[in-house]
Amino acid sequence: MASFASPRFRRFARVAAGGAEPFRPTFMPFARALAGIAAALFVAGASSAAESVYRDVKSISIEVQGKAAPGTDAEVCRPFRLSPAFVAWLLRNAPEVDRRYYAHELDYAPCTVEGRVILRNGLTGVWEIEMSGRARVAFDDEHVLLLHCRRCKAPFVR
Amino acid sequence: MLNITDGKIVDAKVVLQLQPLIERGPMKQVNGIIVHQTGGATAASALASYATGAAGAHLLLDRDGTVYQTARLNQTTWHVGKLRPRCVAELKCPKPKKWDPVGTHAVERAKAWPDRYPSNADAIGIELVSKFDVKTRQYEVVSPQQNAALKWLVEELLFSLKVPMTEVFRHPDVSYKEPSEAASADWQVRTP
Repeated sequence: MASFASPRFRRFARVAAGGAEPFRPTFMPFARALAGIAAALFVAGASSAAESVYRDVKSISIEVQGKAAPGTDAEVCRPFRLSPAFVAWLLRNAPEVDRRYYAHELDYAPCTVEGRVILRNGLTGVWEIEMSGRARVAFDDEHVLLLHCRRCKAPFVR
Repeated sequence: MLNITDGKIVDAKVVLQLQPLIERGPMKQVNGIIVHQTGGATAASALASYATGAAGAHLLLDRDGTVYQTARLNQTTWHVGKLRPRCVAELKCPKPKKWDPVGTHAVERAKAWPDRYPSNADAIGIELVSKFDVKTRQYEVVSPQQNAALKWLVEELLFSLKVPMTEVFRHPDVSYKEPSEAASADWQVRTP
């Protein structure tokens, strides 16, 4: 931690009081450029996700929590419970994957949370989210959305 | 018996389509064979995926029964994934109370074969070109030509590499994969 007498604190105090920032690291333009690129990529990604009508979730309902596949001990799946807000977030934001990646590369888990979704355009569908982070939404117009929440933490299990 | 030279099968029934990027280092001992389905409609789509250096198997069987060798048999490839506990399937230990693929895999990979399933380190992978239906979560049924080619290939590999018949598995039996994968694959040798 910086003390009040330290050069770092004196520089902070000068800037906070409206004084000129006396030190401008030479890497700042490069860092700003990187930040700009990252922001542009983030906005591009966000807008492409937002452009998909299938991600424009109006509401969701949860029909079953911690469902165990046949042959699986119910106790194993009992901890897998998700909130409606989190499910809506996941259906809006989790990255989409192709069917080969979904079926063959991602792990299967026998524990799911399942329910229904209504989009802002009125289209409805059913969704299931596996404890491994795989998710699938089957809409009433036959479109199927395959998602993977790679960074989801507990109660997801890798 | 197969003629295998530097890991390559020399046989009129096998088309060499080696994909160097899926080879991950020497495989000193082959202890098993894992049967997969690709989840894609064509052999070309699987080969295109292999060419990017993604996960891949040693052999690829097209819908018409054509056999492509895509990696040398003396090289490992990444085709298995996290190992399931073999002792549970063989009723030698209790079912785990928690779903923990990463932890289970760490325990399993520390074991010596055959106390664990064959893994990336010691298994040959055979992929069958088959679509995956995302609505029903079912893989396309393996074609008769694919099953005929699979049976020939498995028999030849078992004999040539001295692998026990009991060490041929469907992918979801050994790893945490879609349960319908390779369900219709049939390599069994029928006795009269």
